[in-house]
Amino acid sequence: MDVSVRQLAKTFPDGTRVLEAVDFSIASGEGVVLLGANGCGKSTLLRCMLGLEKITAGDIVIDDVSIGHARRSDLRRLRSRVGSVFQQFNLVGNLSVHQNVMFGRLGTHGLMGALSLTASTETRDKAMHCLDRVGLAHLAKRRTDTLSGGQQQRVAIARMLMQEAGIVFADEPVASLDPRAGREVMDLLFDIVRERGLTVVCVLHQIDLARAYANRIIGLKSGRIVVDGAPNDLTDDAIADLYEADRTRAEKESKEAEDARSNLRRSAASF
Amino acid sequence: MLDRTSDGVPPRFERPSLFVWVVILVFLAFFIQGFTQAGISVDRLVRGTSNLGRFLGMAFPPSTARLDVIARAMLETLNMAVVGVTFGVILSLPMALLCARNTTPHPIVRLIAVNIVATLRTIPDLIWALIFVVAVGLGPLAGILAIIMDTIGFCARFFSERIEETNPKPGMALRAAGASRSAVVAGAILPECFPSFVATSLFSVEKAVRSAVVLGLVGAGGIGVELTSAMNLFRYNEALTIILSILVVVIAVEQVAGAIRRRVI
Repeated sequence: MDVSVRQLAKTFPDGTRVLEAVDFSIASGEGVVLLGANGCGKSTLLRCMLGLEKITAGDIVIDDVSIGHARRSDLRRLRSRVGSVFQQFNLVGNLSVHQNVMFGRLGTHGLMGALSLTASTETRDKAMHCLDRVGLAHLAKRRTDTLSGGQQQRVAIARMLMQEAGIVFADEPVASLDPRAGREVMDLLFDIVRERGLTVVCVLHQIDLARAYANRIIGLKSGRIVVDGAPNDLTDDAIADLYEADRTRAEKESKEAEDARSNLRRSAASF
Repeated sequence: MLDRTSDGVPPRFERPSLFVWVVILVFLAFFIQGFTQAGISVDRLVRGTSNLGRFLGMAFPPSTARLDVIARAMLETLNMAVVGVTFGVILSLPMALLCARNTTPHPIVRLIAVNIVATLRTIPDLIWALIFVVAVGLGPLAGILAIIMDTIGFCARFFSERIEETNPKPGMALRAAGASRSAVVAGAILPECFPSFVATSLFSVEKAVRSAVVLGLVGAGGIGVELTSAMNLFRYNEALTIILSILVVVIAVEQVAGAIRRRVI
């Protein structure tokens, strides 16, 4: 599935401009990593691409469906073909692992077709296959919130597999995991993506992971695209520059703290 | 050394504001008026104590003559509580979904639903029973209807508060996978709330057993009917049996409900 973002702008109701004139397209099968400092608009961009956030100006077209103009039912149909992986896994904690995987079919098969009690044998078997692919078939009966973070993210990947999605949006999929579990999850995710020829848009904070897994890196800064290219074409300086604004802000903050401290010292001296 | 007069160190005691003074004054006025109105005197308290002694003297030993009738009335009380709470909980669920900010179809619907639930809660169960005795006549049906109203007032409110506390992220993930709003409610919100719903419903059962006992006093069925007639006929030894059996049943229900709650949560 291909994505085309056209002159996208997003302003929050309080007037904050999060995205401005964002323009790029992603070909089917491309593996794109979005980089940028906190608050640069990466996650908002992903949410806009899912139609979970209203677009202020411009448009996003995924597989010939215009997110800005789609009807609710079209949007739902499109979403059911978009697999999502989130930082916090976003599984239903007190249900079984198997049930959570079957929820991947809510979009296409409806509630009755995805609930353990009423789902078809085919759906139930398929969920086991998906769990087997991520190496967790033996935990199918377990309550999801008893699993480790890395395991829960694998369950989320199995749920995405269940959807038979053509594209994967991953929002900081390893930010809550330790480095080893993070590597394993990234390996699993990109193995699946490559073997099925899926398109990926993955928000990351780890530059080394971005270089290791992406075919293409897009860097956002203050809601605009400032970097776009293959990992090998991007210098470390260009990537470091993405976080520059943050660094000046951090310096300003530490200077303010220093001022406050010296003020305190001065007033203490006067006693 | 720190300068004591320097600003920054809060004083040990702050003079109460005018508002606090007014509240204290109004409270004192009400208290003194109420105390004098009740006509409390040593003489009356002494006489009351001796009356109580006479009552206890007549009540002991508790009578076992009509144990079978009492047992049947007690069963009816429990039946009223269980049937009333079951219907109440079933009706509370849709009501709570309409009341909760994150599941209501529209803010106006929410406003209406919240006000209906608040009204149900504000009217005491005894008054519901009085109304239903007029509507459907004496007997357990009036009691059951009163308990249903009381349960909706209690459960719909706590259910909706729990629904509003749900973690939005799993629901968002299901929505991102194409799930409809109702599927998100059934797949992510209700499963998360389920243990809390069970706990709240069990509290409701405890509450309903206690109120089912009292509802009989206005003729809405159950053990209360037996208790008032025993008292009115001066059969204090039978009344004591009923009071003791109420004590045993209420404590037993609370223990069982507590044990189930601990299992669920």
